[in-house]
Amino acid sequence: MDPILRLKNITIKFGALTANDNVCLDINKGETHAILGENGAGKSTLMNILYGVLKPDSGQIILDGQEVNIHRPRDARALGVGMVHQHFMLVPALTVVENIILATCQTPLINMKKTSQRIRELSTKFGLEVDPAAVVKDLSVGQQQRVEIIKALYDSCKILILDEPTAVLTPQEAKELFKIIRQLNAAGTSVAFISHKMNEIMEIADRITVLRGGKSVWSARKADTNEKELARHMVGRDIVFTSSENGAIRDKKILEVKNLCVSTAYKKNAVKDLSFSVCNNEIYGIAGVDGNGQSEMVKALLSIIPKDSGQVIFCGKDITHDSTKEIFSKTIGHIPEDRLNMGVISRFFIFENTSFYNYRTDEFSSRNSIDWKKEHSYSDKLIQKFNVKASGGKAVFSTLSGGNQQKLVVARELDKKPRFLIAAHPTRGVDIGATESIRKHLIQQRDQGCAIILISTELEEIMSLSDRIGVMYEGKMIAETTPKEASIEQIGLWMAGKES
Amino acid sequence: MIRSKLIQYFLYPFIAIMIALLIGALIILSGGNNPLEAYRLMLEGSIGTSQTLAETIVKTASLIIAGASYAFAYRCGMLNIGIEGQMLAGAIFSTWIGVNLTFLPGLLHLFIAVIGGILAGALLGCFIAFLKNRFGANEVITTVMMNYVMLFIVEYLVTGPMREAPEFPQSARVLPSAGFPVLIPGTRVNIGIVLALLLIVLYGYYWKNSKKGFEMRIVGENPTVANSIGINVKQNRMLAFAISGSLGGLVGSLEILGIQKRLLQNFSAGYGFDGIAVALLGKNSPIGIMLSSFLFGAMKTGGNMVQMFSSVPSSVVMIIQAIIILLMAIQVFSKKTKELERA
Repeated sequence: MDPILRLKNITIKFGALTANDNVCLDINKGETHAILGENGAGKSTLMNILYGVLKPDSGQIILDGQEVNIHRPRDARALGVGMVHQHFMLVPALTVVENIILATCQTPLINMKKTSQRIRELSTKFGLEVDPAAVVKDLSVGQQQRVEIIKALYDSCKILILDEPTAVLTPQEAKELFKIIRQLNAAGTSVAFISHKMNEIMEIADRITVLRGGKSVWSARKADTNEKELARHMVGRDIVFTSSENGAIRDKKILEVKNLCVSTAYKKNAVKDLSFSVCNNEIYGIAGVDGNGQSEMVKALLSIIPKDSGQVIFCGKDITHDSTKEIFSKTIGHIPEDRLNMGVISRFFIFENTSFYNYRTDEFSSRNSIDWKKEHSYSDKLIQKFNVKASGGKAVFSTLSGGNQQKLVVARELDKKPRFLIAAHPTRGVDIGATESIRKHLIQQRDQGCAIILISTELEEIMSLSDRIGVMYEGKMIAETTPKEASIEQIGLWMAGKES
Repeated sequence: MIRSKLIQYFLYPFIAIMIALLIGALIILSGGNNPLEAYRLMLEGSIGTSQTLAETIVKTASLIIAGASYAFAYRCGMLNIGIEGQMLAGAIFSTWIGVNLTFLPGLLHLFIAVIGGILAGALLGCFIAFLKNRFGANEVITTVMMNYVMLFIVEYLVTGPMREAPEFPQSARVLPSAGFPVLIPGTRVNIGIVLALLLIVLYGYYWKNSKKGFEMRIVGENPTVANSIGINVKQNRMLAFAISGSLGGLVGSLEILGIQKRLLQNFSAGYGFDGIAVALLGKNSPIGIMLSSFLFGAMKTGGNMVQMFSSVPSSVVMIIQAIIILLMAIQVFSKKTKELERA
């Protein structure tokens, strides 16, 4: 039997980054095909190409044996390809019917009755219980997802794309979703299921394709594989470890976190009862899939957001209730995960950006005024010392390339000579050269005695830089290990929430 | 670098002014009048004689302070549309002190009256910042609403509790001891202009060199960044609005104690709103605010002269001002959109 959908050699580039590199994918009629990969592996990009949101640079899309050109989502829908995005595209103030009409109605006049009828038809057929007259904002997340699925199915859908559908669901809601998926399969609809959670994939998928670094690296039937093998393919086996062990005596606990709990407006219990400590001369790597409480933990440690409970101790002093300003007046550095929204003002000059912490110190200011001349020469010094490619401190920050911007942020934080440093995704979105230099600086800093928390979703980075590794899953530290003890498969399993 | 700054700060405003004058000329022409003659009258009526120049200077002083008020909040990322209301608050307090605290000697009376006006404006500003910090209320809405509230309070006061004589809706005259000393005898030019120039120098220094000013600029550009590096966003917003409001209050004091000498129902010449225009045209820079204040001051006095000596109405001046503001606002937006496109 020919597959219903065949993607052949799909390639798309964003600038220097190749997001999809000769990706091939076959989906059969009535099967659930899981697409597995780490963050940034190119899963969503591939699905956006199939759904007509992005246009590939090269490659073919063959649907039902015919090559098709999909220019926009409307074309995709006309061909029977539906997509449910990770973030729902619903108008909260409107009812279910109104939302469906908004998305599907092609005629100038609307027919509420007919639409409600079709919704009921679909919900009985696939077990998608939802009241057409309900207002969307009153629905639970799981119900909203059902509305999205109905929206996608509304005009006879052959292939339904679900982009990380369980990310927002409770385990019970996920079970419901799996039931729906099975019913869809039984009715002949194929499902492309995107996820990085292995246990789910093992439960729902018929076949699995693994993407890594933009390439489709491996494909198999579920029956012929197991979680360990999946983890190995997802992370990649040929990683070169550059062990950076330096044999220093780690006898002082620089930072101690005890039973930290954090909730935000968007996420209750983002961090749950988290405890760990970092010693001098140590890089403590925190591995984990993005969104498992890492960024909330960092913000809470620095008092950028409030803590529910718990204790933070820095060099024997309790800093739990210190303000962010007080924390930064100690020798603590922070390389933020999102520099443009947490670390710099890109419209400011470089010398203004490098002064963000020291403008309030006695060295760079007297009473109320800042010594800009000093700040200026300081920024020139940083640029030279850390080899940042910039014309000088008087250039506007946004004129720097991404890698050089990040290098400058790293320079600013390291030049404080911190005893404790938080490095959150220090090399994310940075080119290879800058990555190398940033990693080298981090190791150098550690060798001078600094305690470092390294947060990264790239296992390779965690494995090669860390002295100890903690794995975060759903706000908890579910495992602690060292790069020597643990295999990359094991860490991959922990990251997917498999305790063992 | 320096060249692009020159273009941004001088060439754009200059072009805006020229285009506005051109359109103004067409409007005057369409009314059957000679635009050149009208502009000549305007020029003569604003800086032609020592008397008119004096009037222009009086207006410039108030405009500088009002412009600084708007620019101050703006640089901390907020829009103070309520300068008019803060001005009225300042005027009420200054008038009351000026009329009632008769026991105070000479300069002290003036000093207390001015402080009263400043505090009234500052309090009103703090209230706006409190609403923003505590409830996330948009300051544009709250300031606009407060303008109406203050307008009606003034109306109530001059027709009720503060009315001097039943036949006129106005307060009693402030004592001479609370009046701004006249700088040039025979004119209305008082020490207000000295105060305004002093303030604008301080304003420049504050934003260029002070720690607090730097913090406020970071808050204004991106509050999330400010928060992440340990700058208290709410505190800075409160302080910025307090200062912005106190400058607004000062304009009210100046108007009452320097010019009107008593609280009237419609004493405001719209400085609160002109302040926005002045800051916009002057790109929030001290020199820019000074120059555009002088320009707007001159147009205000010149407009009166045009109306008096020709059949061209003084509202032509308002049209020209509006076009200048419009052109400057478009530039602000085009710059923003360019940045968005780049991001």
